[in-house]
Amino acid sequence: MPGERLDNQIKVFRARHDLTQADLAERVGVTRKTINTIENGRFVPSTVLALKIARVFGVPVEELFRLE
Amino acid sequence: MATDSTFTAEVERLDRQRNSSLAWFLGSFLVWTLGTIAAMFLLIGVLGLGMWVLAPLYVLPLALWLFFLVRYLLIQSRIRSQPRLAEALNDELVRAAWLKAAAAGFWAMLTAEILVTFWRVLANTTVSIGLVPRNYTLLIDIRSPLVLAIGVGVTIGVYLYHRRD
Repeated sequence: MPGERLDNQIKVFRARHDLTQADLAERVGVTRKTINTIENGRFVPSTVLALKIARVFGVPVEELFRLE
Repeated sequence: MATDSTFTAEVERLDRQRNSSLAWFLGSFLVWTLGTIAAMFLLIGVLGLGMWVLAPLYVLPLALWLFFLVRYLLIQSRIRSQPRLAEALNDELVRAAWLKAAAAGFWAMLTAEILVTFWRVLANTTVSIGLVPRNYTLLIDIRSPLVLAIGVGVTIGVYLYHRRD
């Protein structure tokens, strides 16, 4: 939908789990830059990557990503 | 949470090396193509110097971009040989960046090709009525390197832009 934006809580969950961007990147098998661009809303991850990130934090994907 | 810091450091290092190789390749390639074109116009076309002035402007950037292209290919080869590294370093952001870069490069190259084709038609018209015949030769010579420089420049430039932090 035009005007809709994907908001994410990755930074919040990273802080809660004491993970750096590099740590999270290594756990889901991507580069740190990819995590950085997702966190900043410049890149929308695939469903697979979103699910992998959610699995690291042990939460449903809807808690990490939502449409605004 | 414990993580494999050696692996993470290796991914970061290879990613930086790969991007810096591309940036250096792009810079030296643009100097090689556009520098040669500028030299043809200014040093040979305007000042009337011999073709020898092109040698350093041609050979040095050529050696540089060849070096960085080989360096980039060697890094890619090393990445491909290790599946875990390949998965991390050729992730979906990298693939998306190359896709956007290829699309931008295609349209830029096509537009440039159309523009220089019309430019050449105009040059032919100028020559046929007996004005500035020297420009005719110069325009023919710069056509391919100019289109190539625009295509390569836009493609790699867009890729590096999308891979920025």
